[in-house]
Amino acid sequence: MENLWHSLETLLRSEQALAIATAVVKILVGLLMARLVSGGLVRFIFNKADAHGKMLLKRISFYTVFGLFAASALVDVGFELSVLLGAAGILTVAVGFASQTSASNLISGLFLLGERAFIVGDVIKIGDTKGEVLSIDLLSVKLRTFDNLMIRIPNENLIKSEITNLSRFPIRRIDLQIGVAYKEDLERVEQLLTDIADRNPLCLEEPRPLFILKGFGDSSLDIQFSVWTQRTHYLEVKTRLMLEIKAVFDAEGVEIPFPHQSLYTGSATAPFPIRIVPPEAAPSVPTLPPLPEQTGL
Amino acid sequence: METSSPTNSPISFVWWGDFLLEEGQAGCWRIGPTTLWIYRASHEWRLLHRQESDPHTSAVEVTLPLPEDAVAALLEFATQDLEIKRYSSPQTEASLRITPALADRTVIVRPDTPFYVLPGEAVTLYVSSPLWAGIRVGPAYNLLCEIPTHRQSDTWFGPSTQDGELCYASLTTGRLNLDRLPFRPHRATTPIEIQNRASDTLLLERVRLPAQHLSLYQSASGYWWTETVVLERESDGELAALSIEKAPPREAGPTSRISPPRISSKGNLIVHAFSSLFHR
Repeated sequence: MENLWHSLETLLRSEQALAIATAVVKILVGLLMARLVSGGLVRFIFNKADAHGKMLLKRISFYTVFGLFAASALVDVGFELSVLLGAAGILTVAVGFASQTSASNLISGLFLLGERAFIVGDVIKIGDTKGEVLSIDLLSVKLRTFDNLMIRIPNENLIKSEITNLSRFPIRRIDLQIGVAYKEDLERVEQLLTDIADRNPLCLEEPRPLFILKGFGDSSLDIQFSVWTQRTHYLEVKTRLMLEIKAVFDAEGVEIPFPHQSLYTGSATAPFPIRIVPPEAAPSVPTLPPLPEQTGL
Repeated sequence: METSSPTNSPISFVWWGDFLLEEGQAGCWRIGPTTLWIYRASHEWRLLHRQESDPHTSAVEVTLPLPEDAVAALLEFATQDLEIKRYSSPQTEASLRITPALADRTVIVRPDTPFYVLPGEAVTLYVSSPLWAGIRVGPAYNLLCEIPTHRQSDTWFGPSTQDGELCYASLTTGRLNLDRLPFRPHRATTPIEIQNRASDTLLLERVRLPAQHLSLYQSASGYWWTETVVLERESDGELAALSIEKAPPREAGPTSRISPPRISSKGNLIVHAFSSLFHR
């Protein structure tokens, strides 16, 4: 027991122990300093940068300050920095092979932050996912969808896929796909649609609404009617226009057809002859013969 | 701010100024295409308004106070096609002020037919824009809200769909003389002096009217005016120097200043004053 106490005392009094203690203190102080410096910098540029810039600055300053303190602590313990950096190179290769996905996400994250294709607060669409960007982290981007779900998308996926930023520009175009019957006068339809857009003060007068005849469809004349509006009013104006188009077309007798087909008998173009029979002349529905009684087998 | 005396009878053409509204009473202001009802309860102000589809309606009528049965009907059937706003207050007071003002954004005025200004010529166009009614209550006349007498359509003005300014759109017949200027108690007339000093003819597709930088004046005959806006085009192209004169226009005769500009402007602005430049 006395020997154990003696050896512990020797160990604690040794230079090695002192160095370890200094290193631990340096790491703790480093963590504290990194947090203070990154927080202080963000407060300092409070009015001069957006959320995206602040986040980027906070990350970089935190890791730089903490890295310096950690390197100093390692030197105290007895590591040589040059050897350490050499070892770090080998370690990086090893870790890189072992954690390819994480490293890829990390590097993709840095590219995403630098490219500024979107920033925190933007509404973006990736594949079928649409939502507001909550944060751009080193490994992933977190989105809040409009039905209030949190979605985490790995940075690696984002760097490879097509991203649509819905809130980059202040105005947007609403493209309405409308079908009208072949008998309709298209000039009249265009006038009705333009009047609807003109009546709605949220539809921009300029750029003017666009009326495009897209083609002769199977059942209808296919029209695209495009109207510009402020980004913030997009859904409201789209719904309001569609409701009003339906109401005006109904009131004006413009037919919105549903898919229908004409049947022909074959080589000739004459259609099937159809005879409409008045209800009283129609033959009575034949009754089925009764089912044979079961024999109880 | 110049105000009229409080009144309790229907008045022709005077829809703004100071009014008194007792508790439980309501008043109705018909200002051109907008009808506004204001109801005072003990702890709240209730504002209701409706826009008519015809922007050229210029009738003005103030009924204060409304008969009791009209107030009851208003409160009972208010939700049908009216916009309603309620403002709470610990204790409402009788004083009510309605202030006229110009639009809160730039107005883009488009002549209804192509209009050209020959090289070296100067022309003055008289264009009108709808006024806004600000409703203020209490001893400090706190602003409750502002209601446009005619809600103009939004429009975009700028070099591209990415870069520009959200404005109001207005169509003008481009009057060149004052004799035919109709009296419209809910619209203010702005003389726009266009000087074409360039060597080519200027096609006036649209003119930028900086309504938020203009003051509002009323002449002795009740017409609303703003300062003259001067657009000087020096060289060929779309750029023009826009300046606002310091005094009300001489054509207006003796006037009194009713409201200051929303944003005070400093010096001349070189702007894309004639065209928005973008193409679809």
